[in-house]
Amino acid sequence: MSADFVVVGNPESRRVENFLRAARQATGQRPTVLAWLQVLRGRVRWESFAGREVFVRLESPGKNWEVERGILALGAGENDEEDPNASRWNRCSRREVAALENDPGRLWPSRQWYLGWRAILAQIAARLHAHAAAVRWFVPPSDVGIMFDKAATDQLLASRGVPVPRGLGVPESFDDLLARMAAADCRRVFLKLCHGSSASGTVAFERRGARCQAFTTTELVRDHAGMRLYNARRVRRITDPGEVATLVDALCAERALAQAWIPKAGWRGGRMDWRVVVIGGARRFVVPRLAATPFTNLQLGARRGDQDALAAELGAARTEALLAPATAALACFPQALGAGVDLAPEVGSRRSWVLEVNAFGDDLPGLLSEGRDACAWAVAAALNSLKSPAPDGNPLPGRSPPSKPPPDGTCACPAAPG
Amino acid sequence: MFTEHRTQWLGHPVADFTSEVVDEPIDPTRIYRLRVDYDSDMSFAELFERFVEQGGAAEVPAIIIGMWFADGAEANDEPVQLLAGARDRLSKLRGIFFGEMLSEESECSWIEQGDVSPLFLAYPALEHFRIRGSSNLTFGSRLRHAALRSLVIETGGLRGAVVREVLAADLPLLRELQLWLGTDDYGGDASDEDLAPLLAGEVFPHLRRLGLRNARRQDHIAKLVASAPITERLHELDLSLGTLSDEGAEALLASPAIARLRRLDLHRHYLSDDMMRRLTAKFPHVDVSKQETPEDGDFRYVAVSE
Repeated sequence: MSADFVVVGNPESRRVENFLRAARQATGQRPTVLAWLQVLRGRVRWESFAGREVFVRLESPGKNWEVERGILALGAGENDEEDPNASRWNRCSRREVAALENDPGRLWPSRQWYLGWRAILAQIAARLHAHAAAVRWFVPPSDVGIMFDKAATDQLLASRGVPVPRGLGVPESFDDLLARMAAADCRRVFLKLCHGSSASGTVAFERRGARCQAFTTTELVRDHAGMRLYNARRVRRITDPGEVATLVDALCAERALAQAWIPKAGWRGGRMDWRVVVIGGARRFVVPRLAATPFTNLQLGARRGDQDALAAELGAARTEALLAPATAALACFPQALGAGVDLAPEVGSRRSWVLEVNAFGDDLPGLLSEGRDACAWAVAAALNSLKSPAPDGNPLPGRSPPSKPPPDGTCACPAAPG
Repeated sequence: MFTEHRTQWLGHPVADFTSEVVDEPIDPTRIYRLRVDYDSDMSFAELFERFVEQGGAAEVPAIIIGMWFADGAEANDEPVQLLAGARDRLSKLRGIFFGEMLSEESECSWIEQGDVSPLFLAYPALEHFRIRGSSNLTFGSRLRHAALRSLVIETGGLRGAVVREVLAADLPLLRELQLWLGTDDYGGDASDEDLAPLLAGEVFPHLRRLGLRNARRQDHIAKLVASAPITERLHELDLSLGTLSDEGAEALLASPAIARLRRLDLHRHYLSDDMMRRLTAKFPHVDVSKQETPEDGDFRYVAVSE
């Protein structure tokens, strides 16, 4: 099968630009671009896909205020199956959303955003399958939906035997978190927004006896207008139990997942984890991230380490054993051609644990693997997958067979497993 | 901040002894670090028992006690008692490093140390004692030990009471002493008066290597040491990891005793480029690696605090 490439994203973003360039280079054709804003406002002529065979790459909706507000507005009208009375997690009405103004760094009702995000993903899937002759996805919308729900991802991975940190569930409040920690005999946890990304709304919390401390990038602002949460680029340490409680309560109202804090191995003076980009079943990029704080996000000051030097120190067998869970995590999403996996080696470097699966975690500016960047690898994996039989013209996102390596080395597309 | 475990100690390679490797034979040329994993089903007591019952344990030259609590008891009484009680089975033991935990396992200031004096009674041939964390730490009212050569206390804040205990101790063979002074935020309240017997050279006649490290007032410490009688008989001085700036370094440059040292360790500092050049020109054995720059105006941090 051949197919027209379609990218859904924010057209002004570097991510979309990179993908367009990679697709043009590999196919000679410019993909169709659908802007999230266009989709949200119902301004897509879906009929134009009639009879076409398409390969769809969904890109991040982030860094665009109008899109963010549109998703929040859509979420306002969505029922929450986990919170039918809309009493558990922070919600706001369509009218309130319409009145919102851009406030960079601010955390908006995260669960509601997710409900809107899931709805727009479902809408795209339904529309394309209704009109196009065949639809393939880089990552199907249903998988993107799961990856954007850390609790669901965690459950899926755990059920398939992928090593994930011990889960303490979705606490209602700070008191509930403490009760869960006591019941699980767990003194250090990470609390993360189920639907957040990039350490947004994350707290590394520790309690022993009367003492507690929390590391976080979340700032809590209180004034006449009420209480608001912001993401900051600085990691703060809070030791006042009252202040920690207020923050944790606020995050729990956005649906947050608590997990045991894996003591991360260190390397070259930093606490370490890996961002692993798996594409077509193979680990294409393995980037050690070294941090001075419990957070290894690069935008929070962590630095990239040299994977070749690290692998040489660990030895081939141990490196392979430590990185294997990343590939295993992606195997839980058999229809997804790629994603980013955050993987933490435990102190002692004998085991590693999957912390997150990021649908849009393959954005690694400036990094090349065998001469290709992540977008080029994604396009190659897409072309490769198109060689396997198309789903039987069905309108629903059926399970496409796993991608196979080409029969010989003559093809421009890479063999998948490396 | 501690991010990595040591891979060498006292000239020996260090290996982890965890629940995953309890059945592997012990190599007596190595030093083992006993450590429980975060989700380990095996308690520290069980892990320790598995270690000492192995044939090779009787030959190991030293032991490192790492993370001893996963979720259980945190105070050090149990590991201290276990180690003291195993004296007949660890008969070659010359070194103990107690509490080698990383920041990812436990903040240094949260390591619950306590009374370590039973270890000195149990191991009269002990030569090296190193400890991390000084919360509740005590060496007892009057420490006496005829063999100890090296004593190191790694901490983010050393209490004056611990300094007084150490300097009142009877340690006739002590050659190396390291005190990590830390900051008052974490209990580091040792005063000049507490340090006076040391600086005056009244204690530890064989002391040749002195470290007064990781200090919030590293400049002040440098000035004290530059003109202290003790410095006359030192071979090595270590003022690393703290907040040393040009102010403290000027005092070092002016000191004849400092110029006679065989090694001067100033690494991880806030010195200017120019001062680093002057120090290197004057002292061939100086280590001025790891230059830091002050944050937010003039705020300088020690390497290990919380």
